[in-house]
Amino acid sequence: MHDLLPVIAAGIVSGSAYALLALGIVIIFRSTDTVNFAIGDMATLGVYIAVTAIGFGVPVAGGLLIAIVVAGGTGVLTERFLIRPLGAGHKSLFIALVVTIGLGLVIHAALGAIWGHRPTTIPAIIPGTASVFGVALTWNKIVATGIALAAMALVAWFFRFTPMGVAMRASAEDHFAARIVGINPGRIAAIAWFLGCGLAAIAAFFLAMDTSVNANLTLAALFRAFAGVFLGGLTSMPGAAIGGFAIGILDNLAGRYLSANYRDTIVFAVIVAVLFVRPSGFLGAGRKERV
Amino acid sequence: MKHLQYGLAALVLTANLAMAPARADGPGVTADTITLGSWSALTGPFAVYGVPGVAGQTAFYGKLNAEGGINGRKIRVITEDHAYNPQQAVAAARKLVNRDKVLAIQGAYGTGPSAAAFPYLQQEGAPFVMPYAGALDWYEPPRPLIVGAQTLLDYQARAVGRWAGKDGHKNVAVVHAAVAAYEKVASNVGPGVKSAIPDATVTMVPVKLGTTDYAPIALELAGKTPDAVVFIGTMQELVALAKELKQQKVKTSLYTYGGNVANDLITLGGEAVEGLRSVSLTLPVNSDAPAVAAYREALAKFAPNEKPDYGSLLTYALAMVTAEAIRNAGEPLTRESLMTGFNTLKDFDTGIIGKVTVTPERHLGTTEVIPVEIKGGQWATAGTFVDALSNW
Amino acid sequence: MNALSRSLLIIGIGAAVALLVGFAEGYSQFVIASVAFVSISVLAVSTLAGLTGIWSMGHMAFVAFGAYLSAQLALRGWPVEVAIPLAMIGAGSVGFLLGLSAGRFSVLYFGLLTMALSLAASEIIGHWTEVTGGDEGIAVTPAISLMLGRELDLGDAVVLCVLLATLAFLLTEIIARGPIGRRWLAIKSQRTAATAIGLKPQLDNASAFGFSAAIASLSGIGIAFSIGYLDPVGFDLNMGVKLIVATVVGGAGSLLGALLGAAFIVVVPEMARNVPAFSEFVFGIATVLTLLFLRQGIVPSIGAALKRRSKTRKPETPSDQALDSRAIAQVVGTLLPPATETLEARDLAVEFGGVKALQGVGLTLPPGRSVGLIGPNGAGKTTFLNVLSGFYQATSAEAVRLGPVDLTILKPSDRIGIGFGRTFQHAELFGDLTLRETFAVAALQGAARRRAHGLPNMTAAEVAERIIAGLNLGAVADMKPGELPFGIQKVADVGRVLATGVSVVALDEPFAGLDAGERAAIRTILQGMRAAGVSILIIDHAVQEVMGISDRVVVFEFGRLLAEGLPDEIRNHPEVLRAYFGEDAVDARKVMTA
Repeated sequence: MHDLLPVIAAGIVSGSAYALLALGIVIIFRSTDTVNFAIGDMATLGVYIAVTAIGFGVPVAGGLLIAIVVAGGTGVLTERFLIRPLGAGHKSLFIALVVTIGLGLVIHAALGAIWGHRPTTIPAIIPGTASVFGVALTWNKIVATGIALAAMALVAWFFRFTPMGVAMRASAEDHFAARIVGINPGRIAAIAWFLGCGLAAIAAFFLAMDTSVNANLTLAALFRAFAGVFLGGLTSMPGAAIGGFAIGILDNLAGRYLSANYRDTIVFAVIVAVLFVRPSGFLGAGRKERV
Repeated sequence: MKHLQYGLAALVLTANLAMAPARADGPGVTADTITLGSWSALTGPFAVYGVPGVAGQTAFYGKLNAEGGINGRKIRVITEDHAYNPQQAVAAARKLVNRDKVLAIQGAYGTGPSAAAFPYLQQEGAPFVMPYAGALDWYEPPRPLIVGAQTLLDYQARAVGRWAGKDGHKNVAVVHAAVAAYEKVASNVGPGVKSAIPDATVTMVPVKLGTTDYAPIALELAGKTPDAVVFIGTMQELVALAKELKQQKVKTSLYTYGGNVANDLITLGGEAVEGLRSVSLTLPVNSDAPAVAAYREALAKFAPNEKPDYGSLLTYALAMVTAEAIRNAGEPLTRESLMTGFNTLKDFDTGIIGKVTVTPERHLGTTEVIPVEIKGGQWATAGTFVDALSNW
Repeated sequence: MNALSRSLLIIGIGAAVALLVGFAEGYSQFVIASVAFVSISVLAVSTLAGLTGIWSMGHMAFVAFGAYLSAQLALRGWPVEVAIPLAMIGAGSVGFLLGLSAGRFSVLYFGLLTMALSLAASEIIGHWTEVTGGDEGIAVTPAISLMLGRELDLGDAVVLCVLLATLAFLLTEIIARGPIGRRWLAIKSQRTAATAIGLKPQLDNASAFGFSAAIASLSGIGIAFSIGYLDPVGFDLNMGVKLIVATVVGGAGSLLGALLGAAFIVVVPEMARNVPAFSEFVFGIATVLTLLFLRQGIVPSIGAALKRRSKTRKPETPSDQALDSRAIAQVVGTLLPPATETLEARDLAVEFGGVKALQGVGLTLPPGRSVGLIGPNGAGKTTFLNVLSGFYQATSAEAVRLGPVDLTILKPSDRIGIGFGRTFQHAELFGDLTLRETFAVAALQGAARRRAHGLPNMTAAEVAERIIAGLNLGAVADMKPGELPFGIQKVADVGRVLATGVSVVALDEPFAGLDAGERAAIRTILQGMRAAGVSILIIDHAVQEVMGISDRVVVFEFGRLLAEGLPDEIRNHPEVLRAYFGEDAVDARKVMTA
C-alpha cells in the first residue's frame, strides 16, 4: 500500500471530470426538474467546435471558453425550445428526460456526420509533469483539476452569495415562492442550463486533451458521473461534487488494489449498497410526498 | 404450412432456373457484374476501424473497375453496417445472401460479429473470404467456405513476444484487455518471449476493456519494473497507457501488435509512443513500393475522405487477393469455382502484405508480419517480412 | 369493442401473420420476425410506462435473461415450450424483487436506476462467460419443439417470434386492461388517494415491474432462436434507449402503439441502410417532435382526436334536483355497514422540523354521528386529517384509535380494512380511469368488508353501477375526471369512498370550490349517508354547511383546540367569532347563521 497516496491523488484528478459532470446534472435538475441525458453530447459538441476554432489559430485557452459558451448556449436553447414547452409539473419529469435522450441521439449522430469518426487531439495548455504525493501528474491534469475546483468554488459562491443564486436555490425548493419574490423563472432556468452544460464542457475539454477528441468522449465519464450523482443525491450540489470525486478515488483504488478488470463492478456494488442504506444518496433530500 | 413453404420454394427455384443464363454462373454474377457483400462498423465506437477498412476495398475495386474489371465484369460491393453488433451482422448476412444474392462476403470487418453470421453463411453455402478480422478457430481446422490472409492476432502476439525476447528483455509484463478475445491473443506473447529467452519471466496484467484512466495500472507497473511491456488491446487504451507510463517515468520498452499500427497512434500518442515497437501486416503507408504508391493514388481518387492508413492499406491488399482468386476461378464463376480460385493461389504477391498461398488444407493465406517501430514520429520498418510462426 | 373481442382480434391477427409469414421472401420474413420480437420488448416498456409511470431503460436485462436462459435450455435439449414459462417466471420474479425497491424511490429516480440495472446486466453478461460466452458471445443451438416434434429451423423461428408476440400482446391485454391494470393506473395518477382506498403502491409497482419483465423475457426467446447468436452488445443501454424511443413514438401504454413503435425502430434502419447514422438522427428527431407535439404518442393522439370528433357534449354540473337523500340512504345502506366503533383522537401533537403544527388537539366521533371540524387557515385541520389517514406521523398522541384499533401503527392502505375512508379537497380522482372504472377499483377493495358485515354480495361492476345510479352520474360514468366539472369530481370522490365499504368517512373540504347547486348535491348525499348510519367527519371552511349537518363541532386555531360543542354553542362562541373575524363579531354572527 506504499502507493496509496499517489493512487488517491490520481483518483482525485480523474474524479474532477466526474464531479463537474455530476454537478452539471444536479444544477439543471434542481432548477428545472430535468435530468439532462444529452449533457455529455452537448459538451462534446462544444469541444468539437472549440477544436475547429483552435485549428483556425485560436489559442487553446480561448478554445476552452468557446467550448463552454457553445455547450452552455446549446443548453439554454434546449431549455427554451425543447424543455419549457413541455410544461412544468410532476407528469412531465420523465418526458423531459426522454426529450434529452432524443436530443443526445441527434447531436451524437451530427458529430459523426460532420467531423467523421477519426479521433483528433487538443494540444496541452501547459506541457510537462509535476510530482504530487509521489505520483507524476501532467500539468495539464493539474490545471484541469484546478479549473474544475475553481469552477465548483465559483458555482458555490454564486449559489450562496449572489441574489440570483440565492433566488435559484429558493426556487428549487419552491417554484411558486420564486414567482412571488418576483424572479423570472425563465431566467433562472436559462442560467442553470448554461452553468450545467458549461461545467460539463470544461470536463469534456480536459478529457479530450487527456485522451482524444471523439464522439464518445464523455461516455465512460458520464456513467461515472451518474454514479456520483446516485452517491451524493440528485438534489445536492455538494453531494454531486463529492460523489464525483469519490467515484474517481474508488475507481482508482479498486483498479489498483482489487482488480483492474472488475473495477466497474466494484464501483457499482458500492453504489447499490449505498442506495439500499440511503435511497436518496448521502446528501440528497428524501422523497417529498405531497398530500 | 410447411408444405406451402416448400411449394413456394420449389416455385422460386424453377423460376430461377428458367431465368438462369446458360453458363450457370453463381449468385451475384451476371454478364457484366459480380456482386459481393461486405459488412463493417460504419457507426459506433468501432467506426474508427470500420470506415477506413471499407475505404481500402472501395479504392481497390474502384481502380479495378476503372481498368475494366475482371473478364469484362465490374465488381460491385454492397456493404452493410453492423455497428460491431453481432446481431446486426446476422441481419446483414441474411440480407446480403438472401435478398441481394451476393456471390460471397468479402473483406468483412469484425471478428465477433462475423463469427455470429457463420452458421447462417454455412447453411446457405456462401463463401466468407479475405475478412478484415480473424480468429484461430476460423482456420484450424480449415473450413471449406472461409479463407483469409490477415495474419492472426495470435500469431502477431507471438511474433511481438519473440521480438521482445530477442531484444534481451527478460522480465516482460503483458497488459491486455480482460475479455476472452484479447486474453487468448495475449496468451501467445509468453511463448514468443520464451522462444528467444527460455527463462524469461512473463506476467499477465488484465485490464477492463474500455478503461480510460490508466493511472493505477501505470503505478502497478512502476512497482513491477518490467524490462518490457507488451500491450494487447485497443489503440485508445494503448495511448492512455503509454502517456501514463511516460508520466510516471517508468523506464521500459513498449511493444504492441498489428491492430494498433496506425497513423492515429502517433497523432494521439505523440512523444509517449516514440520508440514503440510492433509487428505490422503491411508495409508502411508512406512506403516507396509501387503497390503502396498505387494504393495511395487509388485511395485519393476513389475514397478521398480517407487519408492513407494501415487499415485501408490492408483491406486494399485483401481485395487484391480476392480479385486474383476471381481471375483464377475462370468460367463459369460460381461459389465453388471461386473457392477453387482461392485454393490455387500460390505465392501471390500483393506487394503490400506477405506472400499469399492457399491450399485446401491451409485457408489462412499468410502468417507473415513485418517488424516496425516509431522513429521520429513516423512508422519505419525494422526488417523484412518474416513468418510469425517461425523462430525468426 | 369489449375485452373478449379485443382478445380474439389479437389472437386472430397473430394467427394470420404466423400462417402467412412463410409466403414472404426470406429476408422479409426476418424483418417480420425482428418487428415481432422487438414489439414484445417495446410492449413491456410501454405497458410499464403507461400504467405505472415508470420508464425503464433497463428492460434489455430481462430480454437478455430470456435469451440466455432459452439458449442454455436449448443446449441441454429442453424444448422451447418449457423455456417460455421458465423464462417468464424467472424474469418475472427478478423484476418483482427489483420493483419492490421501486417504492423506496421516486418514479424519476427509479427510472435513472434502471439505467444502472442495464449497466449491471452488461457487467454480469460480460463476466459470466460459462453461460453467456462473455464478450465473444455464444451461438444458439436450435431448440426442439414438442408441438412440431423436431428442431426449429429458421422458418419456424420466424413463426415462433410471431406467436411469442401474440402471447405477449394477449397477456398484456388481459392483465393490463383488467382490474389489475386499473389498479396500476389508479396508483400512477394519484398515489396518495390510491393508498387511501387501500391500494399498496409498493406492491403494485413491484407486480407491474415483474409482469413487464416477464413479457420482456419473451422477446429474448425470439431473439435467441431467430438470430441464433447472442452477444452482450445486443442487450446494452443503446438498445434500452431505442425501446424508449419506440415507446414514445408509438404511445406509452398502447398495444397498437407498441407494434407501431417497434416497426419504426426496425424499419427505419432497414430503409436507411446506405446512410450510416441516419437512423440515429431519425430516432432522435422523432422522439423530440413526438413529445413536443403529440405528447401521448402517435396512436393515443389519433385515438383522442377521433374521440373528440365523435362527442363534444359538455356534461352538466350536478344539482340536488335529481338527488334524493332517502334513495341515497338506501344505496349507502346496501354498500356501507353502519358504524359501530368510535373514532377518537386525544392529546395529539405534530411537529415539522421544530414547527408545531398541532398541539394537544383531539376529538371524538361516536358511531353514526357527524362531527364538523372548522378553523381558519393554518389551523391544522388538514394535518389532523392526514394523521388520521396515516400520511403523517403524530409526534405524540395519547390515543388515535377507531374502536379498539390503534391508528398510529396502522399503514395508510390498511385503514379501509377497519372501515375508515376519506375524501380529498381537490377530489384527487384517478386521471386515467373513467368514473365507472374508479368505482370498480374501489369496490374490489371494499368487497371483503361488505362480505364480513353481511351486506348483499355484489360484483365490483354492480357496486359501481349502484353508486352511479344513486349519485345520478349515469351521463358521465364513462368519462374521465379531466373531462368533468369540478362539482362532479367532488361527487365522484364521495362515490369512490362509498365503494370501499367503510363505516367512518372523513371528508376534506367537501364544499370548497362549489357553487350553491353543487353544495346542495353534496349536502343531500351527506344526509343520505348519515341516515344510513355512517359516521361522518367534515372538515371545511364553509361554516354554515358544516353547522347544518353536524351533531357537534370542533374548532382548531393555530394548531390548538379552540372550542368544542353543539353547533349552536359554537355559533355564539366569542373565541370562535374572534378567531374567524377578529373583533368585528357582529358581521360574523350574520355569516355564521346565514
